[in-house]
Amino acid sequence: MLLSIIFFCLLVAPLSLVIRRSMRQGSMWVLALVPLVCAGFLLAQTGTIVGGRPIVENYFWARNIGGGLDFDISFVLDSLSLLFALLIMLIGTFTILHAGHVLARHQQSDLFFCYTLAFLGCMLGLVLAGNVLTLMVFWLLVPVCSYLLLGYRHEMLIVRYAARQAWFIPFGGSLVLLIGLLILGESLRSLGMSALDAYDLAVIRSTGGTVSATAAYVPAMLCILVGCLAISAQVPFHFWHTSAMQIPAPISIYLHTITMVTAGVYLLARLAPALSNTILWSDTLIIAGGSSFVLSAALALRQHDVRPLLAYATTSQIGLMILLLGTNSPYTQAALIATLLNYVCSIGALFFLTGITAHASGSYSLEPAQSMQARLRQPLTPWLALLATMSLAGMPLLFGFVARELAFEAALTGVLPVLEYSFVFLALALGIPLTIVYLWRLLRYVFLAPAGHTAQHSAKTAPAGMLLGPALLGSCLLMLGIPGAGQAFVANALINPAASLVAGRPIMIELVLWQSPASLILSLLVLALGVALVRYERLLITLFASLPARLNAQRICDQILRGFYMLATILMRPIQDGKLRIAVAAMLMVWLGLIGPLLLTFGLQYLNLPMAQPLRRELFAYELLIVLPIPIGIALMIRARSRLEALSGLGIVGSTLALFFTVFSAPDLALTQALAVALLTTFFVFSFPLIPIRATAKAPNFMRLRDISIAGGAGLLIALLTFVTLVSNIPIDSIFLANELANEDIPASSQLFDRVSSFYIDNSGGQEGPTNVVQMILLNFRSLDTFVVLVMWFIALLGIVGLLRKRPEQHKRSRQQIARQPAHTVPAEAAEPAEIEVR
Amino acid sequence: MLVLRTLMRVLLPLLMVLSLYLLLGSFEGVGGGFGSGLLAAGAIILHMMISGSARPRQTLTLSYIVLAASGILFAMVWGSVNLLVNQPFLSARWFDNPIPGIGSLGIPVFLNIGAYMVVVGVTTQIALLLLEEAAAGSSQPSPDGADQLARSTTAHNGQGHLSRPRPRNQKGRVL
Repeated sequence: MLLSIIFFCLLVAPLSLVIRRSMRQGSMWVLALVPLVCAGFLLAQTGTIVGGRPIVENYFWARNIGGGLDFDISFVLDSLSLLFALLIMLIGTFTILHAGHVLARHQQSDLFFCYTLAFLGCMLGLVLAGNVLTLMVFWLLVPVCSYLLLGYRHEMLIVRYAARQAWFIPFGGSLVLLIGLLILGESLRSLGMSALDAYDLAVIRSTGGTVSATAAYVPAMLCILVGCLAISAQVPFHFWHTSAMQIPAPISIYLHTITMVTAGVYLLARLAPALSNTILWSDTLIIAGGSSFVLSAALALRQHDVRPLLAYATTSQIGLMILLLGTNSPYTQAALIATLLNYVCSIGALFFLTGITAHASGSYSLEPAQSMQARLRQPLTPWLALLATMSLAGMPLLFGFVARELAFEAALTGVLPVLEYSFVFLALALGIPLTIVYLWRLLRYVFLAPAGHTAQHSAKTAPAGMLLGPALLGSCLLMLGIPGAGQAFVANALINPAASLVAGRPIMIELVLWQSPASLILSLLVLALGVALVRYERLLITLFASLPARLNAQRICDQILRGFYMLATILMRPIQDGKLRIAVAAMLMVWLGLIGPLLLTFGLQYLNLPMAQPLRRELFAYELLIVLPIPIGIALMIRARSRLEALSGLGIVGSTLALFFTVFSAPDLALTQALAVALLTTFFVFSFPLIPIRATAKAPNFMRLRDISIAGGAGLLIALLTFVTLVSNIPIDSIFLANELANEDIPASSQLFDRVSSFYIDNSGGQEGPTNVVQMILLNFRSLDTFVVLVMWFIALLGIVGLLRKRPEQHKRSRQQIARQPAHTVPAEAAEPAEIEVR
Repeated sequence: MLVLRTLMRVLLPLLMVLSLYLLLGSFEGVGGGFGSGLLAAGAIILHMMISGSARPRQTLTLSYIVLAASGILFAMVWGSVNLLVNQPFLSARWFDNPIPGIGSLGIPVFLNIGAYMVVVGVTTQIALLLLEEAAAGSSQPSPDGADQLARSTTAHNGQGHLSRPRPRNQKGRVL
């Protein structure tokens, strides 16, 4: 059922292209229904889940691979994943509605909707994943979807740059995360768990403190943290998100901002019961989260553009959540969930509202002089913006105030050493006033600009589809801020169950206006400080402008990428300089160097040449005759003066092999071999006119000697390997199979691979009995390999198409097409993508 | 040439039927998706060569790339049917009742058909590309006898581009 919801999103994604083409205008309403239906379905499960019974689904994936490892595909819908899934699906609905209006005239908007739905499906899979395998599949898919989503207007350089960075950082982080989860799982397995349990997220959570006692805890936790911080755009990695926000049409980013960056918070919250009971966990979270919170708020303050301001606001709020997760207090979890809800509703509303004004005015600038020019003035937008900013700033009677109270209460009751305790307060006291100041700037310069001489815009109101999202989110903030039935329902149905899950024990916290007098006083003090600081807005901007311009790791990331390119160039130059012979020689030499010494030291002792043992059956003369053409063909190839001669030598060898297979009762192989040789020869003949003509003179002797030794060595290696595996007499229990097969009765002298073939012959039949064993090996026992081979064939074809389709005249044509494009599609700043951050 | 062309008209359907026979009968006898696919591809390529490179695409008017891609999709979809009944992807399950005249069907049969489609599509498309490239590419004489032979198979093209395909060693762009 959960699987079918995810598949629903993923399968509708390509269908959206058809829907979009067939019904231009109304299509966004239809497409917006997809996440809405999913959200409604998930919401219907609330009753079951709040009752404490999560929905668990397990799908058989792979059993007993690599020494008894089992892997399932598993999905879990519990209160935490329900909360995140609901938020993702609702924001997805609103984004589709918003984009439907903004992108109405864009050429490639069809693809945008396709990518959006795929992204939603992957995010849904991420939060519903029940074990590490499922989680990692979706965790790795999400950056790919976001890359496509960001880069859907790929004709612009700056968009490509941002998209690549937005792929590189979370993807790299997810690899680190995978390492961390593997360390965690293996340490649990070493404690005696089965693989199925050790990689199950619910089991990992239930282990409590046992993980933190093991030596693997520190590396595992740090790796997991790096992965989560990378996808959440926290301080060392925050730049991908900001540069992604600066693309010309940032609708695509709304979705990520609100959903993708919360993935890190989600995983940290999910693993918190297992990892959280050490001081190291609190330290790292408080330092990473607190510095992100304050620094991003300061950076947001000095922006003159709405897009980076909102990006830094996002980073800052996520930092606040991570900071709160580090406070070791009974209020931690509820504060986290409340802050998350407040963040999603208010930042989401702000994104859509700035999108509306920017769509109307065409400007993202925060400069007062420019913002006077053309602002959409309409009855609803400024009021909704006021609501959202005030809630994010934590003004009373809005949900933000309740969340702020919980945050202060968590900080007050946190059980932490003095240094960390005071650091939390320092971060809150610095970050919240700065947040208020930048929100004030946003509100004033974007939404509250006086009408001035914008009479022509005053009559224009945003369409209902665009306003629906912010209006609903704003009314949520209003409703949740005032004590009442709505607040109580959300507290009991969403916040408390999710918080209990994060805590690993039942939590029951009432949403009240203030939790304790101390937190109320602190909260009001900070609020007053923020409001007072608003007056010194200019001063603060100049102050923060003196922060180093490169206060981010963007340059480092660029350097790393450049380093990769250089390294790849240095490595590949000598190996792949365009000559096939050198590439093949390098490949063979690596093979010889890696496997040759191993075979010589370990393998040869098992080698039992057939001369030493009696032949199983007699040799016939014709068998020798069949073998004879092979050396003749090889000699012909070596001595060939032209390509055609060499090719005929190759043909002789190949067809002789086919004959060989026929005699030794492998007609399938013989058929395939004969046809493959025929086609190979044909292809060579076809491609001769395309290959540059070389002098046909004989190569110098040392080159021939070198080639002969490499080729001969590789051939000898393969022959020896085959001999060792087929002819040797290795007692099975002396090698690696000892552990698994020890309990079965194995004759001590049986050969290593006889067993396998007899297994194939015995099991290929089944009841109805397909009798062709080769076919059954290909299509049953090795079906996955066969499938991968098919995919590889296709990839090879694509490579060949790419190579052959690049004729000079086609080059010329495509260049003309690019030149014919209107100039305004390339933004002015596209020339220097690395410089967009400084302003 | 005329003889060959006429012969090929007869041979092409026969070879295709033979390849289909080898494909479908492969569970009881000789054959298999890869081998029979190569056979069919060989037949089509032979027909292309003989009918001249002026219209190699008109031998069978279908997109071979789409054929190959749909082969993968076909195998994948039938392999995923297993997931619905909580069985491993692509595991060999057979339908209970053999269909008269066709034999028993199962997931391996569909995987085999998918392999056939991929092999035919990929191999024929490569040959087609090479033929077209050779027709549009070089017109320089070469001392190699092989080149003569290849050009004779690709006949004379009226376009006569003098430019050879450029070396494609583009430097990796930084950024």
